[in-house]
Amino acid sequence: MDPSRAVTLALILGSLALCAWVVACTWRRAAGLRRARGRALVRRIGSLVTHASILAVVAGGLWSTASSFRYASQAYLPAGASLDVLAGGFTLRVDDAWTEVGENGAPVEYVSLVTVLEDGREVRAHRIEVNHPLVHNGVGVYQFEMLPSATSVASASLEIAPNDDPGRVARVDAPFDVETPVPGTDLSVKVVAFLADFTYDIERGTAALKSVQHENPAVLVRVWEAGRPAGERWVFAAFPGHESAAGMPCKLLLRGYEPDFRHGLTRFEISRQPGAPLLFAGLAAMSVGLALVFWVRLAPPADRGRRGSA
Amino acid sequence: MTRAAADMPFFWAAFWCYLGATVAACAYAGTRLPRVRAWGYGLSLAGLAANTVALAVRWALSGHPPVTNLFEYMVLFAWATVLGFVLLWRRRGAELLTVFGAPVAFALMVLASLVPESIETQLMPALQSYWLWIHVSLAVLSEAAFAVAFVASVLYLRRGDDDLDAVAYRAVGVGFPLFTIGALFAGAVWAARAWGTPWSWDPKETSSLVVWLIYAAYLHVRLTRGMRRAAALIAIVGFAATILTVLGSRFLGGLHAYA
Repeated sequence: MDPSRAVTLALILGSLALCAWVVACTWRRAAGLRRARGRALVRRIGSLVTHASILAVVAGGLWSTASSFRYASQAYLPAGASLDVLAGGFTLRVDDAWTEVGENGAPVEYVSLVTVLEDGREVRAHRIEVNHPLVHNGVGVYQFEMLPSATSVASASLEIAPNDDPGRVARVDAPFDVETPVPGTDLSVKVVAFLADFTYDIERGTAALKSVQHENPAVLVRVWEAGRPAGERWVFAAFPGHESAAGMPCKLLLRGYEPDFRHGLTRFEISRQPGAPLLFAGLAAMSVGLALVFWVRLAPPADRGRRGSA
Repeated sequence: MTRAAADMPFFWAAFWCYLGATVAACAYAGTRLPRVRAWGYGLSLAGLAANTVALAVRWALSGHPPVTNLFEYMVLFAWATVLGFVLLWRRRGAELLTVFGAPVAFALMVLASLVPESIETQLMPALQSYWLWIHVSLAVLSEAAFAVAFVASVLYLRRGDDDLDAVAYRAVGVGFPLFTIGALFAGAVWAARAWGTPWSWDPKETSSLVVWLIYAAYLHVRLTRGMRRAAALIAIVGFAATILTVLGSRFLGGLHAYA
């Protein structure tokens, strides 16, 4: 037998055995209710509720196991892209997606602004964040992952060594798509393209994106000399020095880059847990039952009236 | 953002006080001198004061309750444990328990000293929820109650004093509902909001369920069977499982790996 099926079967059988035992305990406690009075009655009710709640928790868990689903969407969606949520009978359109970054560069929040479409009609808009899912038609859409843009950067950190003076290396933090002068030279540079995972499409003869993961980041840098276009080169973060300086007035090195968190690629998790409300109701009842048992009067029957130092 | 840890002098003050109280507990076990016991109790109180200030300073520096990493959890755990013993002393005069609780608090501080103590002013997205405070604070309070039950059970097995058994029972009576509400119920609700499912069989979730089952067994053995020595043994096993649960995700990973 498949080990995972054996574990599932064992869990189900164990749950059923637990339920049978709890039913017997609950029945016995229910029978004792008539004899109890005052605080003892409260404790007995608490005990009864606690044991009965286990049945609700197990039933909710088994229901979820039998009919729930949870999966992460395959695609990383940029703004404008859509995702069909077949189980919920709706389409999700991503209107915007970004990562809010704190002072130290670490993510503070992942945000996806989405619109729910049913039969092509806009039904509602929602802001999905971690801990703030969209729930529509009984299906939950959760913020699962967010990547910075795969085709743009906020800025690139470049080292530029002019051919006429290779020992003099200038460092420039060039914002994306902004012409930036190189200090101490008559050169200026502009990062005109970025690929998070560079590959070369032989058939088309062009650079292409292999994946949205930042596995082989490269920037296309255009260079001007004395105000005149002097050429452009792909510069690779993982392969410094790989690019040729032939035909260029300088040698370029990509030392790092600031990812473009403003234009994110969002990924969702889709989930339906029909047994969850029953599970929560069971846990809530269990909490109330235990509070009645232990917090109304804590002393065990054998210790009533006794106090002393340990 | 990580800030310089201005709380650390107070942490180390509490650390050394609990160590002193631990030495006093050992000395008292050998000598039975009331003065040694009083020293142990005094050092525990001093440690609790320093521990309180350490937590308050960290809270002020970070801007959120100190429950967001393992270091803060262990320091809070030690604080709640000693506070539990001190409250117990005020209600029941159980000074002896407070003295012998110090080794537990010291062990927790030692564990805390072994993990990074950085203060994070900026929480990761998954932790930005009011459920964090509910879930973690109730869980740590319940585990502190289990620590009290552990110490009382160890002493009960050595001394056979029924009052110690009663203390252990009362501690579990406080801790078990808190654990159910905080660790399981609040945890399940938060997991459903954050991860899309209330239960994932994550190592920490599974071990928490094991802890719950152990203390459920304790209550059944203690209440319905009246087997006090067996119950004391179960309380000891339960606390060992509690510590493994707290530290487990450090080694086993899973969804709680940041904790």
